[in-house]
Amino acid sequence: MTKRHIAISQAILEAFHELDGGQAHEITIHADACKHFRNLIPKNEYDEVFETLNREGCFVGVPTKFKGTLWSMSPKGEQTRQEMR
Amino acid sequence: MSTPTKLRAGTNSELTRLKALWRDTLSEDAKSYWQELFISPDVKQSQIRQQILTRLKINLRFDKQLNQFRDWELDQRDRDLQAERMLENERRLKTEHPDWSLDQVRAEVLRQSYLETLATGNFKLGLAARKSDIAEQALKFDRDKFEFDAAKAALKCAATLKLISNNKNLSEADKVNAARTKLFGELPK
Repeated sequence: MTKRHIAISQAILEAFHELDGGQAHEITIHADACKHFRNLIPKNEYDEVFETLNREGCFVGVPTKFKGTLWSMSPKGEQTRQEMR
Repeated sequence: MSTPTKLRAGTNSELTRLKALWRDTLSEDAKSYWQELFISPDVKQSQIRQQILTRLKINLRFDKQLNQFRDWELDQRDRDLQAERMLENERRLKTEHPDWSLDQVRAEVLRQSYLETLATGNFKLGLAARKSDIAEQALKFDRDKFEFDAAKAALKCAATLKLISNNKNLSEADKVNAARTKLFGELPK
């Protein structure tokens, strides 16, 4: 993992943390992650890091009927966020 | 938003339990019922807390907890609406610009979303976005300037660079080092 990937991971995990136990669509998480990253995260990089963290079990995705998949942070994700700070 | 008082995953406070129940278990109808109750002028806060205890077995002891939950729930709804607008924008941009890559489409959607936060008076978010834009532009300017300077220096030393490139006594690493020194001078100590 490059330094940039680590910084993007932190930004995504912070965006999830802000949900405070709630759920959100990946597109709004992307927008929030860019704010934490203090720059635009290109979609391909965002998707790559998001997928890596998801494989690690950091998120829980729930498919919904009308809103697409809604994501929330798992306890593992919160633990990872704290370890990365 | 990230404060030390924020609830952490793993804590099992009544408020956290209520959020988890709301997120994972309650049906849309049940949510609508509670949402109406929250804004009903005829029901007191304490009565709502009592109903939550009776029906959901969650004991919010203070009005402050109920207020925190309502703020959280409103934030969730705001996020849903924001996601809907952004996805709609994404669909529209894909149709209007079939030649754009997914990266370009998403970047434009995010930019419009930031402008929207500015237009709706969320200046804190808007300013953060603006700062990001400026940082990105500054980085691009620095890169352009570096590329221009590098190209200019390379043109000036084209003959010497060719000699270095053709020197069979030098390894690849030595050639790169010699070219860099010729173009940009010695590395600072």
